[in-house]
Amino acid sequence: MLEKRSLLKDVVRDKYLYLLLLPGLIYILIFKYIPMYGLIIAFKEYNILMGVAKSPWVGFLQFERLFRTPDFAQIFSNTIIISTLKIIWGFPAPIILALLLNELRRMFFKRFTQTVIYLPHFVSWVIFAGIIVIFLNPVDGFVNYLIVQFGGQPINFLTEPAYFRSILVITEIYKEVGWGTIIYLAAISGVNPALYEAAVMDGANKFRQMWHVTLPSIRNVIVILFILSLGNILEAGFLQIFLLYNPLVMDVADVIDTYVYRRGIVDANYSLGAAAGIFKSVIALILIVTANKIVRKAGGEGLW
Amino acid sequence: MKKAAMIVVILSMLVSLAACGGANETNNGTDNAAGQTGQNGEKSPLQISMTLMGGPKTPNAWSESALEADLEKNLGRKVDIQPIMLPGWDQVQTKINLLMSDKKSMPDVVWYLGSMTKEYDNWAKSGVLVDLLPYLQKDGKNILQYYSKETLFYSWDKTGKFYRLPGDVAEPSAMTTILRKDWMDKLGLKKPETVEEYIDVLRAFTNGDPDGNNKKDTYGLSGPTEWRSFAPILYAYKSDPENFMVQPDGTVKYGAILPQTKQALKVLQDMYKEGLIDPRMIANTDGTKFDEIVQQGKIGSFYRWIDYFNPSSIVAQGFKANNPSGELMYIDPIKGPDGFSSDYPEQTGGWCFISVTGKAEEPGEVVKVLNQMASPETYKLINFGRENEHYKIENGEFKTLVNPDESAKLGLGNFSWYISRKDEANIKNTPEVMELFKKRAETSQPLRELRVEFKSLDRPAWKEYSTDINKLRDQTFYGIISGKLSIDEFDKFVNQYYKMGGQQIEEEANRLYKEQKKEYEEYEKWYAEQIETNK
Repeated sequence: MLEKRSLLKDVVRDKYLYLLLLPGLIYILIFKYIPMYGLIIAFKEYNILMGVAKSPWVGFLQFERLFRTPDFAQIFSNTIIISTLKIIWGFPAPIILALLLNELRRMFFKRFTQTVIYLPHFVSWVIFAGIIVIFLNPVDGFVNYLIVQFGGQPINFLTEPAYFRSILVITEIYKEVGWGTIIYLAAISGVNPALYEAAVMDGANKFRQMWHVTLPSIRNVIVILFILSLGNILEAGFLQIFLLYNPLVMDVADVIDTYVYRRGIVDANYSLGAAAGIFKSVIALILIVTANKIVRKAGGEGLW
Repeated sequence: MKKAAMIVVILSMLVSLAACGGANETNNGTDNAAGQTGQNGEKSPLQISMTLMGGPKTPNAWSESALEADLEKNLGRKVDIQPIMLPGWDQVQTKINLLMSDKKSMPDVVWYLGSMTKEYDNWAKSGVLVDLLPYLQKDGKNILQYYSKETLFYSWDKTGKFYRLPGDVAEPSAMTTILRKDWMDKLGLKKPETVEEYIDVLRAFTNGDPDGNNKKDTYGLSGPTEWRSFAPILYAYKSDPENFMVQPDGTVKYGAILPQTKQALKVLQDMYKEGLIDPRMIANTDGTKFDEIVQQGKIGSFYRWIDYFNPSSIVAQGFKANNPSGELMYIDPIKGPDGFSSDYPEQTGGWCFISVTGKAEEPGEVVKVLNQMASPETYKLINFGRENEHYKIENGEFKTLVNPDESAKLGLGNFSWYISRKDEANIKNTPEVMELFKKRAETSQPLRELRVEFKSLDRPAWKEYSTDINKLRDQTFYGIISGKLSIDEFDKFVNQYYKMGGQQIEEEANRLYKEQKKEYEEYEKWYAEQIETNK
């Protein structure tokens, strides 16, 4: 570095760019940082009447209550298992789909397909879960209709612990895969065409081009998105699970978020809910930082 | 950055303050106008501000002026109602707290949620609320006659004062066992009275092809996924798995752990195995979805709303449209092995309340107004409009003459939950349905006597342990019914219950129950002296 530029100078020179940044900063400040003040209720016994400031301090009692919950081990492992499954199956899916879309030759068909596969993303989980329940229901659901037509016995899918997690993973992929391709398609379109031409000259077929040109070119994007998805490992998908689970699959379906909802919000243990939220955030932070370190050590470009 | 944030915060506060100020000003504006026009009478017009939550919340609506005219006619004094429309459900509590935090913004009459016990306690203790007893004794006949003794207990203050009135109390029981009458006739079945007879009927509904399409596509019992859907079996066995129940020895125990619950679950398990229970009933079916299932017309029996027998009910209309020859019928609650039977009792205390605050200069006059609003005529006027202008009654059946938009513009329902009448004054009910409500009030009495409705919301042990216990209860019980778990799991659940804090819950419940019983005895004495003589 030849010259140490002061931040102020930077700001003055690029004032319009910083002005563009300002709304985003204000948004994050107001809606993300200021509310963090409320986190202190995780260390208090929050009482609505006394308010945040006057409620008594209890140290780590809320965390103890959380960990002492009889089902905590089960809830925690459910969370990890469901979100790991979602990452294993759900993370590669948009990459593959983006690669396939990229090979489409008719522009109209490509655009049309893209639009159609984006659509489920915009349908709220409430509606989507309703559709799933109707399709899978054992009395007149479409899936069971097919099973019966082929001579099988109807299956009450949503009450079978053996099927429940698969249903979560499949429906999540179905809903989000199209939306997930957007970033990858953008990255792919940025690949230098000269590389493909060179590969063709070397006799690479379409598959080889994909493997040796496209994938390495978008590697950074894949890594960054992977790190970010690790940060969500304790988010198994509250709405989806909450709308689909039932007492018969609780053993495999109850996750931290649904538990916090029932105990923290419905039964008004707000401090416990806040403690669970902090617990989740800390784990997510550790995972992101570690993954980022590993990636950088291995020579890749991390998040920062 | 910090400064900027502060500025933003301050600005947003100023904006909200300005909004409040604006609202107040408009209110004052109408005050003055009313004050000037109302100087003809001897007394100055009575001004009453009240918080309103129900209906379309239309400002300056027809219902308001109609009420004012009606009050003037009946009380002989000009009344100026100043409604304060409360915001949506998620903000209503905050808004009420804000209004009540300052004498200036306080309404004369405040409407609030039953869940706001702590706020109510605070207001009562700090002397913000007016003791209504003397005024009710003098001018509150409609109110005192309408609400039952049991209901008013939940509004009574231990010190013998009366700081609040229930705003809305559901009918004592709003549900009934329902059967497909046309299927009964077709299969030549007789009305079931006992559990065995009921199961026989369900069996015939399931296997006898009652819809005549040569397919086995009908189910006996169905309902949304909730415990009261199983009422015909559970309640017949004297089991209410969601509430504390009084035991023969005078103690109270959680209904889910009682031995009769095990018996009932065994019966339900066998029924499920035999295919008499709709498999949708044990998971992921909510009330709305079940309403659709009813309308499809493939189920024979369910435990649901009495309102389905009102021709104006949307479910009844949908059912009729899909099944022109279909007909529903209601039966008395099914009798269990020892002859016990009961319908589902609703909460007696009410879910929202109204109080008169110290802001009211003439609380006696305010009570007169409330009492008039509780009269059948005025209740009908402000909730349904004028007969033959806004609605008509044909063969005892209520027919509206205004569409929903017009109704909202008129402000019909603006004054909901200010002592809502569920008797004949609720003319949307046909006489048959009205009769049924009365009958169900009686048939739900057995369970009402057994079930404990806690007046105190201060239940720390319950709050701490009930989430985990109820999760295990639902897992175990639905597991047993669906046949995934053996009936012996019930005993494990009971053991587990005591280990998971059930011991503390039970002790707490018994303590509260004893206190409440004593309180009720005092209340009864007080009621006989203060209310009975003034009814």
